[in-house]
Amino acid sequence: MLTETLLAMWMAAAPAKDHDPDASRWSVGVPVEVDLVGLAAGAHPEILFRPAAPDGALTLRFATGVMAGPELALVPFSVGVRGVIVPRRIVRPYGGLGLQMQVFAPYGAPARARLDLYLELGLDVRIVDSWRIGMQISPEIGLAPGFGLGMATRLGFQVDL
Amino acid sequence: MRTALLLMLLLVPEASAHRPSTADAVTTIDDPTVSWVVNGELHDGDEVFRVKLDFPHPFALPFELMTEHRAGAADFRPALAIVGPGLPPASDEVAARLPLPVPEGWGVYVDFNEATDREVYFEQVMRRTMYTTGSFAIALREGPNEVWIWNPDETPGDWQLGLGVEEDFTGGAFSDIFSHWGQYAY
Amino acid sequence: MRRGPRISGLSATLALLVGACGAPIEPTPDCDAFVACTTARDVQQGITTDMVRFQPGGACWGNPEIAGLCDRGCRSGMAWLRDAFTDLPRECAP
Repeated sequence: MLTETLLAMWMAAAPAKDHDPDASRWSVGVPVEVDLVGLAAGAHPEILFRPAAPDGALTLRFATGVMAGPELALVPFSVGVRGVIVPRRIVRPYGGLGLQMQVFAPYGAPARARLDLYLELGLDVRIVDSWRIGMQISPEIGLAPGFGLGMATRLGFQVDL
Repeated sequence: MRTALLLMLLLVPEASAHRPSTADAVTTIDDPTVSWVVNGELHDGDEVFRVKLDFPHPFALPFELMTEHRAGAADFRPALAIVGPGLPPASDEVAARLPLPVPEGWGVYVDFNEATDREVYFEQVMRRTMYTTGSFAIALREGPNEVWIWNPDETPGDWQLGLGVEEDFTGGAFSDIFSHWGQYAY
Repeated sequence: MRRGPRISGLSATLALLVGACGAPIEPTPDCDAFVACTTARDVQQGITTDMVRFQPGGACWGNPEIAGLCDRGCRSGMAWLRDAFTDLPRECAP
């Protein structure tokens, strides 16, 4: 179902402009994040780098941010890869995974760190030349020092540098 | 995606979590020799929860009772009693404060949750910050034992009882979290 | 407030890395004392209590978080035993 939906969106999306040799390999994204497991909200900026080609599908992601909620604040540090399915289209679904060190600062208790594996599924839309808006969900699973859950939802913009 | 999920499963190390369960007024824990977190809600405040544990042999394990660490729940202090054979008999003063009579031949461990300074515990599976009575280890006899949870102040609130440390997540252990999401997640 | 081992952000990160490598955690003195006391009481009462989780290699010592929980539990459990019973064997003395 998801695959069909994404395929339909791909087919419907108009192609972007032709290959641009001056296109940047770097982008910055600034999503607002709401964490649904351990309620918290904040900003989770990310730096994106496309090592293979400026308009390539493979993207490396480096991100950090600050989220706060009624019971805790958290600071994630993320490194991962993202595969953009149709990088030159206006509408681009993507998926990715990576590792995320979560530093939890629960109110009234000592800070704790947890290493997570995160997945991400998202969609972004080019609105003007190098600007995109997008949304994303990112399930997280704790690897060490123990099991844990997480689910981040993000809404924000991205700009090519 | 499938590769990612397989990778995720392969990478999951030994968990550090209790098997979740949601409490009814009388709740029987199928296997008290593995770790559980039992979630309950005092709707009216005057209910008494009875968690029944039937040990196949004498068994020592840690317990703790947790409540939400947030301003609106700061005064919610449910009490906990472990009742069973081999525990010391309740004094008249303690017996008068218990919500139920202690069965003949049984004794009691009780924590009225009256400590001035309470421990705060971060539960990393669901990322909850909780007040806790603090962990305490106790040796219980073979056969039936019970844990009673009630609030002497008769005010409503959510509580979590953690017991044991041996993890067993077989048989859809986490399905209870998703069917009672509001009680586990903030 | 919180008794026993505290885990700060930095030490938690270190513990996380060490824990990920599977470094063993030794039982704490408080849990050794709890096991010794309970074993001695078992002899008095003619029973055998399953305390595997508190002993070396037990489930208490799988990671720092559970180790802290067990350590605090043993300390509180010993304090309660000493308060609650007057006929404890000498292994239960402080």
